[in-house]
Amino acid sequence: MPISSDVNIGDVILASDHNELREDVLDPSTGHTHEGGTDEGRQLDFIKSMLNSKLYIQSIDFECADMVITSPGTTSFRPCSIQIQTNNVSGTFACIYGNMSANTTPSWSVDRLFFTTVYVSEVGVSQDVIFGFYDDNTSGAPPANATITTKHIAFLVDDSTMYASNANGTSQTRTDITSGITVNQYNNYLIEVDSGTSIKFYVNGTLVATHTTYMPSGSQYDITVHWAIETQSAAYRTLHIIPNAAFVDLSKPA
Amino acid sequence: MTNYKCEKCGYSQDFEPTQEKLNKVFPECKTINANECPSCYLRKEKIIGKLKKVTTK
Repeated sequence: MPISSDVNIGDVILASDHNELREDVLDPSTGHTHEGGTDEGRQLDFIKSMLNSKLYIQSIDFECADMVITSPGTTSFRPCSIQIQTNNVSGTFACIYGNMSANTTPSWSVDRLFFTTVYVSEVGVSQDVIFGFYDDNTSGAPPANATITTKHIAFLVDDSTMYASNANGTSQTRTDITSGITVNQYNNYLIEVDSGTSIKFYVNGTLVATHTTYMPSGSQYDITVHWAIETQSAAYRTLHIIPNAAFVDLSKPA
Repeated sequence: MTNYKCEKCGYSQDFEPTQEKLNKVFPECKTINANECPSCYLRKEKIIGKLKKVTTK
């Protein structure tokens, strides 16, 4: 087992030092196991996850062919953001989504992260919004009034009220998280799924809600990462998305 | 629907904040006590809020 030497001021770090440290951290056969035991290195959860799981990270490429843009709304790609906008007709929506896995049937029962930065341009107006994991056997439109039992794990907006929400196909759990959040500004939203245990919802790095009931489970082909907005009046509604979205699957080895 | 809400920061959860359940859902909060708010705990607040039962229709 290689053990990196202490480094003092003035020391020169050689390539061999770097590679030894790298082996210490990343190679469980010759380096530290990072399981907390003597000489096994400090326990690091993310290292443990990398070693024990098939870590799958994907930064979402909004302009790739796998992403679907739904009419009759419009989508425009700008240097720093993506804008999806409804028409000025009540009941029209704009949507952009992508299947989490193009060639395999994904499962809801997987430890998973989803991150996005979005901005709902208006509050106090009639609208519905969703961003998160969704079952796209639907039309792609967001749930009306943030009420839906179709499988999902997402942030929902009903007019001015934001919810953390999930459903298992039969029942929905949702929490009003509007307090302390300015919906009509850019916020960082994170969903952390600990399969079978909990779903944690974060806004700007703060844990705002945790759900343990009616979590979706089972496999399903049409699980998507999903953004959609619908107007419920004769006016345009817009959702701005920073193209930094990503999701992480921590699938256990078969 | 029954929730447990932090009177200090507004955090909400759908399960009773027993010691056993908090330890299961938040293993990273090693010294959290029953009824304490995990969001306050994770932010390292000096005063950790208490979770109160809230029932809504």
